[in-house]
Amino acid sequence: MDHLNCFAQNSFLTLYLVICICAVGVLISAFEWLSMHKHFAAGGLFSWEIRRMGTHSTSFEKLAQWLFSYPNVLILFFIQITATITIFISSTNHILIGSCCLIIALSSILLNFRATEGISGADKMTRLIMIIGSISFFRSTPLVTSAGLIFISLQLILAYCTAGWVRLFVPTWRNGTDLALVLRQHTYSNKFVWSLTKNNKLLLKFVALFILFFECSFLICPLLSSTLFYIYLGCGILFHLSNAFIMGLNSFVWSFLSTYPALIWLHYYITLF
Amino acid sequence: MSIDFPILAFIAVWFIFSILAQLNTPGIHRFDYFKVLPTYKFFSPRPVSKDFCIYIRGVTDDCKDNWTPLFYNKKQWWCFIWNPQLRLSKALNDLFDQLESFRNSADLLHISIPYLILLNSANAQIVLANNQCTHVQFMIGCYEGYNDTRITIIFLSNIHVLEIL
Repeated sequence: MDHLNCFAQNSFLTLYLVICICAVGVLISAFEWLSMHKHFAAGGLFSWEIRRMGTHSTSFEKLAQWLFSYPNVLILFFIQITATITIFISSTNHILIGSCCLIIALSSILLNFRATEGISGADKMTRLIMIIGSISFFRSTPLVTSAGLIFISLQLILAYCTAGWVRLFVPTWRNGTDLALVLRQHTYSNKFVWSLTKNNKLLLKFVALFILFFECSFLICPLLSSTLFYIYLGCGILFHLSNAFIMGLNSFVWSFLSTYPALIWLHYYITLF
Repeated sequence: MSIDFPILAFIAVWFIFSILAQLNTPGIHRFDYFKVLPTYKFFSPRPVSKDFCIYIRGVTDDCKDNWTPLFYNKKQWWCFIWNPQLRLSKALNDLFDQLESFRNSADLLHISIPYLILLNSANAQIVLANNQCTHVQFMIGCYEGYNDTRITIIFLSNIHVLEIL
């Protein structure tokens, strides 16, 4: 645990680690979108030809017509890939890292303007992290970097607590029925997991309650002793990895686990006081 | 130091607005032009309980083709690291949600953006597959995943004249 606390003593290093892990997710996501480039062409599910009818602002429309049409829109993904690679190789140049974070954030906002379909909660978390990363690395003062890390930690706590507390008051989430509804789907599950859980209501209920307990109580996580704190983080890592393996939520692994160093940093300073 | 405090204030206000966004505060998303206010209600309060699929078919004066999927959504074992198909499934769910908001206004439904996006995609696929057809139709179905793979039609489009691109 002391080793884990080592990097937490340096707020810039912690934020750089957050940005790097998040950037891996951006890189994978950009390549995923590029692999579906044909869906951005005319007649594709993500094509611009129908969506452009929804734009009203004339000045925005001019930019949109050029940037959002196929194949120009793919430039945004190539820009993201270039920015992420630059982040990986430039660990000391704060202005360069800040610029790359800003580029990724802006491209993400532009893509969200273009189409909201297919955008996940992980993409939104990534956008927040990159905006905070750009502010913190541009300003590069310990105060702003600390505020950025606190913001990222609090967003993680807010994410888990919101998801947990909203579901806690739904009886079908507490008894595992809703978890079964998710795990029976081809989109969010697999045959093995479904065969394991379909007739095992006790297992479903246990898993559902465990997830609810983990999410709802995450608020107190940074205040716990180091041992309990790292047990919580271990559960979180297990939660996201199982979501990735079972449900295919691969982008959540990178966007949410990237916030963990910020939480370790916050826990380190809370325990100091 | 003087610039730091406005930045800190901005970050603090941003976080307060993030909390308000979780509480469904009316109008909170109206001015969120840059989509920086998150909503963290993953699969809650009730999850999507069914798999969605979209089928298309070409229609001629004499006959109707068989329904074929607009895209194949096959989940691979490496989905934990690489899963672009999830984007397509999510997009279809999002489009269906948008379409649902027009259910009670039938006169607007057929000129709504989600309807036109799906029609446009169906049109392009039919043109690619078979230029004998003169009309196109799409339907959205759902099924209970591994529990029951029988598809229930939940949305059936009108038959539209095929537009050669």
